[in-house]
Formats: sequence, structure tokens, C-alpha cells
Amino acid sequence: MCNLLEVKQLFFSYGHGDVVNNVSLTLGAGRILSLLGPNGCGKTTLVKMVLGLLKPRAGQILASGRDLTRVNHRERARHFSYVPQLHHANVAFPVLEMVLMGRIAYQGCFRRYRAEDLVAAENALRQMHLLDLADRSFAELSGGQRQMVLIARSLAQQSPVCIMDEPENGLDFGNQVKLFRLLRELSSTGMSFVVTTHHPEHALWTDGEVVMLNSNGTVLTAGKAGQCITQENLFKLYDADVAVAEVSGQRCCLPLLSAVPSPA
Amino acid sequence: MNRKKILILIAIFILLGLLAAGSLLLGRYSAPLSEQFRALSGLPSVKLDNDHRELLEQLLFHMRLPRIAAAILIGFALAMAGASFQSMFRNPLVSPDLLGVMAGAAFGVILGVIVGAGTLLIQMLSFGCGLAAVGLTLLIAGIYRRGDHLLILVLSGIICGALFGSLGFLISYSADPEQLGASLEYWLDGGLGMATGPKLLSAIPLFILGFGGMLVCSKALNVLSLGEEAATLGINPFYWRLAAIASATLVSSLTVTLAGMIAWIGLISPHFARLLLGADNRLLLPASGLIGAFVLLLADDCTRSLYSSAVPTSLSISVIGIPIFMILLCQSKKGGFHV
Repeated sequence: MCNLLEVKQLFFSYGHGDVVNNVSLTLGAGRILSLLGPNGCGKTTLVKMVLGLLKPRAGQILASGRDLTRVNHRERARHFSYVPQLHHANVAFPVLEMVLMGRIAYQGCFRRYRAEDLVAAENALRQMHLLDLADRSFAELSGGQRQMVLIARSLAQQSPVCIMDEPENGLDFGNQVKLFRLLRELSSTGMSFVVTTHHPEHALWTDGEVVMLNSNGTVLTAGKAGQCITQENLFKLYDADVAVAEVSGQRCCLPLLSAVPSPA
Repeated sequence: MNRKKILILIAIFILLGLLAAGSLLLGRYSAPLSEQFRALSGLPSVKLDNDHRELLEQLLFHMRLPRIAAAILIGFALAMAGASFQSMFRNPLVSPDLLGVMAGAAFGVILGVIVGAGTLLIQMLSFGCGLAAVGLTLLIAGIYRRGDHLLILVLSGIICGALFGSLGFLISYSADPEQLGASLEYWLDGGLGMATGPKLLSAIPLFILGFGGMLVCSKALNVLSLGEEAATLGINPFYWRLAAIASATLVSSLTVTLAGMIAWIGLISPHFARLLLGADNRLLLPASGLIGAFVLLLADDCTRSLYSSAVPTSLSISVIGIPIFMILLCQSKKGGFHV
């Protein structure tokens, strides 16, 4: 079976030097892949290339074995859905309408939504326990609620891969925990996620895989989150002393704030 | 789309109809109301002699009716185009005038008049120059990528509008003054007095094309108003933007060929509509159009009855429109875009 997403030796440049530098990765069904790295390491650039919002300088992106340069917007949207960072979406559409937009990939923009689209949207809202909000304006929702609505839109889009750009951004701690529990639940049903994050801890929460990106856009290491996220690798990535400990079977990161910085 | 919103839409439509009927009876020439009704419905006069009756008919059918039709058509077009531009650029501060479209179209019209072009060629010239202007605006805005993109787009629109306005003046200086006569200021100021019946009729097919184009785009405009993520939902943003820009520019340019540059309608009407009906473009576009028609007709009625029919309508729109716009801005927190 082909991987849902396969990135091969990808390069990207905004004009002066490569931001994404020879990155390769694979994603299978039901997996959660975290992209981890310091500011400017090209996490967002990488997911934007997968989504077709940016064009790679060199390299290949395959979706279930198909080269993405030969896929139109609609087919791409049936394979990848996108949950963007929070702060952009200040639009006053009703929540149901927002979720229905996940169905554009099937209906196009000329036709009205059909009964099956409404069913898909309502099912997605029900799965996210958001049916009560269906008629509320998206602009009036809290950050956490908006994030849930956007995930519901992804579900309605019925794409096997959901790409999330810093989903924890703007969520309080409780909502962050809820979010990652939800991702694990959904991944157990076969959906896959690519998640960019600033928190190594969150990559551990997913119990999935991780790709750690250096600030020059190269891959430091990739593999199981539990194996890659070590004190040594975190130091290389962030230039910070962070111990990785295990508490009741769950690995967690512990910044060593009072320790003397070790020589670089 | 729920029933309440459709009822609001119908209510606006009825109000517009009432205002139009009222406008027909409004003016400096006074005749008994009953006689005006009789003249309108083709019944013989009771109190008026033949000369007066003829004058009244002339006034109603050749002056007031075309002017009212022009106000409705132009107001509708500018407001719908404004709503399209605002959704497409996710920017509550843009409109055909602020994007430079109107100035570009006016330049095209002046060029057409100077070379002695016919109606269709003038319409095409104004459309072409309107497109060029909005293209230039986007180009200028695209050069500067950092910072506040909302304000940069508005700023480049103003720059571009000023450029095309000056170009219009420049070519008009090189032209025979007889040809343009006093009308140059009229093109730049905007007044409904110029819109005659035949001119209106000749523009209607293209207007319908533009309105249809925008309505076809309305669902895509909803997606585009989400911004970058539109492409990830399965539409090609480039083609849809192009189609929406072309349709909105077409109708905006046509209004310039009819009545010169009429400002503000395209900016304020969509805000009213969004407060009443929300952000869904499938309702917002027609609602903006109806509200725009209503506002322009009302403004023109004020101009006609308070001053004279020769005063540019734009002036009273600015005087009435800007305070209304300020009130709207204060209340628009939940009605659509946040600035």
C-alpha cells in the first residue's frame, strides 16, 4: 500500500538560501506526524507546499503515490484538509456554513449544497459535539470553539490527511489537552494528521512520529516521537537544556531552568 | 439560508419600490397629485390643458423616469461590485472607487469621447481601463508584502485612482474643448443628470452579464473570503478571483459611462447589508445591490428637491454617506469583517 503522503528531497527558497532543505518524510494511515523545530525552520513552508499554497524549488510530493503537481485543487482537497492557525478567520458565517465549505471539494461552486453535504456537515458537527453551535456566527466563537469547528470542517471534507498549523496556538491548557486527545481518537479511526508545533511535549502527547527540523531547514532526525525527543536532540534544536523524563508511562519534557547553561 | 433573511430581502425590495414610486412624483414642477397619476397611467387630464399635460408627460417619462431608473441601476451595480470586492479581498475598506476602478473607467470614457468612439466602444474602453486600474492597484499592493495588507491595498487604490484621474485631465487638455465641453467635470464628479433613456437601455445587456457573473461567483466568494485556505478547500482561487474582478469591474465601469464617478455607494451599502443579513455572499450581493439602489435614489431625490437636478449627486452622497458610515463602523463588530 502507498503512503498517504510521501515527501522526497524537498527544497524551497524565498529567494535567498533554502528555507526547506532536503526534507523527506512519509505518513501512513492512522498516524500523527509532528513537525518540530525552532522559529523559521520551515515547518509552515513545508505544509504549505503539501497544500499547494507554495511551489517547491526541487523535490517531489506524492499523495497515495500520485505526484501532486499533476493534481488539481479539487482532488488535492479530497486528499488533504487544512486547519489554519487561529488568528486569520474573522468571518461572520454561521458555523454550519463554515463546515459545509468542506464539501466544496465535492460540489464545486456552481451548485447548491445537496442533502448528502448537509448530512456530512451535521455528522461532523455531531462528532465534535458542536451541533448546538450550528447557527452561531463563527466570529463570535472562542478560540477553542473555532478550532473545533475547523476540525469539523476537515471531517466533513472526508480527506484521509488533515494538516494542522500550530493548532495549540491561542488555546488554553484544557483545550490543548482536549485537542490532542481528539487527534488520538480520530487517528485510531484511520485519519492521519500532520501537525506543526512549537512544543516538543505535544509531539509526545500524540504518541506518533516526529520530524525535527534544524533552523537551516535540514532534518535533524525523524522517527518515533518517544525515541527522537531526547535531551541531546532538544538541545541541538532549541539551544536549551530540557530533560526528558517518564511519568506513569508518559514521556514529558522538563526545562532545566535553574541549571547553569552548558557550553554550546 | 433561513426564511427570516429572505423576508428581510423582500422587505428591502418593497421599500425600494415605494421609494421609486414616490420619487416619480417628486420635483420642482408642481402639478396636482391626481394629475400626475393620470399622466402616468395614461388617463385623460381633468384639470390641465393640453400644453401643460404635454409638459407633465415630457417631465415624467423623459426626465424623471430615466433618472430614477439610472439611480436604481447604478446604485445596485456599485453596491454589488463593492460587496464582491470586499469579500474577495477580505477587506471592508475597499470599493470600486477606492480601488481605482472608477477613475480608470472615467479615463477610458474621456479617451473614448476624444477619439469620437460610439457607445459600445466607449463601454469597452471604460471596462478595459477599469480592469487596467484594478490590475495596477493589485500590482502596487503586491510589491509591498509586509505590514498591514488591508491598508496597503486601499492606499495603492487611492494612488492608482489619482494617477488615472490625472491622466484623464491630461488627455482632456490635449483635446478640442468643444468636444468635451463642460462634461469633463461631470465625468469626474458624477451626476445622474447625464443618464438618458437610450444610454441606459444600451448598457443593460452588459449590466446583466456583470450581475450574473457576480452571482455565479457568490458561493466561491464565500470561500475566498476565508483567505489563503480557500485553495485548500478545492477551488482555484486565481480563476474565481479573476471572474469576480472582471464582473465587478464591468458593472462599475458601465456606471461611469452613464453617470461619471459616483463615490461611497460601493463602500457603505455592503456594510448595511452585512449588518442586516450576515456575510453569506449568496444573500449579501443582492441585498447590497438593493440597498445601494435605495441609498443612491434617496440621495438623488434629496439633490433634486433641495438643490437642482444639475448638482452632482456624488456631493450629497458624500454629505449623507460619511456620517452614516461612521455610525456603521461603530456597530460593525459582529456584522462581518473586523478591521
